Amino acid sequence: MIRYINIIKIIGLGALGALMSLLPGSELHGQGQGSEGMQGHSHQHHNQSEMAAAEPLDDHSVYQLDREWTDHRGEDLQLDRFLGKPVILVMFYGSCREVCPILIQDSWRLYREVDERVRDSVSVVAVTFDTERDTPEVLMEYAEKERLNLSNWYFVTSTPRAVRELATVLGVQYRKRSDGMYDHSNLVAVLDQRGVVATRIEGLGRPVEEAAGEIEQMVQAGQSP
Amino acid sequence: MKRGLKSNLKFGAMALLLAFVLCGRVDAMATDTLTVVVAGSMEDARFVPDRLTVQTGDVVRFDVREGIHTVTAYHPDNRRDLGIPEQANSFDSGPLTVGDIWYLTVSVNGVYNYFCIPHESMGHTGQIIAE
Repeated sequence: MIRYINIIKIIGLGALGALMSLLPGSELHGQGQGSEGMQGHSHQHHNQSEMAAAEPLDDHSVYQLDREWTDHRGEDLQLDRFLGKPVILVMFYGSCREVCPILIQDSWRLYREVDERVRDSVSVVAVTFDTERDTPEVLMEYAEKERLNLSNWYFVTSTPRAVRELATVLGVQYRKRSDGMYDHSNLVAVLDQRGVVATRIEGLGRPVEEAAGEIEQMVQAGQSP
Repeated sequence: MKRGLKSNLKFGAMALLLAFVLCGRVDAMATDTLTVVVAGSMEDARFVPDRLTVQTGDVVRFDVREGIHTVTAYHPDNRRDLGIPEQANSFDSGPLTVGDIWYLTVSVNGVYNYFCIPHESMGHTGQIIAE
């Protein structure tokens, strides 16, 4: 019961986020210049310590949404499997030939900016809007074409309802057009180890160095005794 | 008198030679800015020209007239096989839209293959040959 109340609470917060993104200055298909700085970050890499499994989920955790998802390898999963690790989360769809490939590139830039000694502790989850066309097989083709069929990358699909819930929580707006394509806002989010949105990179081609530094700090904090 | 003429001729020839050498040096140092227009969207997306020969040190100006595009090196940094000279730095313009201009300085000899991230699968690629 408490979990459902929490879901309602985070969807409410997400809806607030969506409303905020409608305010002037927010972006739908936002543009921006890329920054490819490759500053090194030097943190020691230890094994990722797991969050205490018995700890209750944070009220704002995305992992309160306990829907079933399927990744591009055909494996069923729930988002809370990423509990205990920072996650780079992006929403996209595979047949997009405009901004989604850039969103995926942005996610890659952020992932790659994270110090390679801690990069294995980060997961990247790319959630499709297009639950009809982006089957696990199609997502696998996409991952391979983009050379992102990496062990800690997950291209996932689910039901339209699950996708809508997640988008609402993240404050991502989207709608299907009559031509089968989608209009959507552009967001790369970083979730902390509890599944709470820690950083939002809105728009396209934004600098990623700061978010990478935050991810490294999360990993380091998770390793602290 | 004869000697003076000879000496003047010698001086003139040397001055001419020096001028040629200097001109040659100036020429060698001069760089050019060449333009590639980025046009179209979806299947029509294209770099014009899609193949450009430049001199090392030249600057290529990408002038975006339509759509949303990138100018991205074939390079492992961009999850592609290496398609630019080994000594050259990888590049990725990030998203470019109508009216945007992006410059690439070609500083190493060789062939630079590049692509547009959204439209690569539709053949939106280009090549610069630096001689």
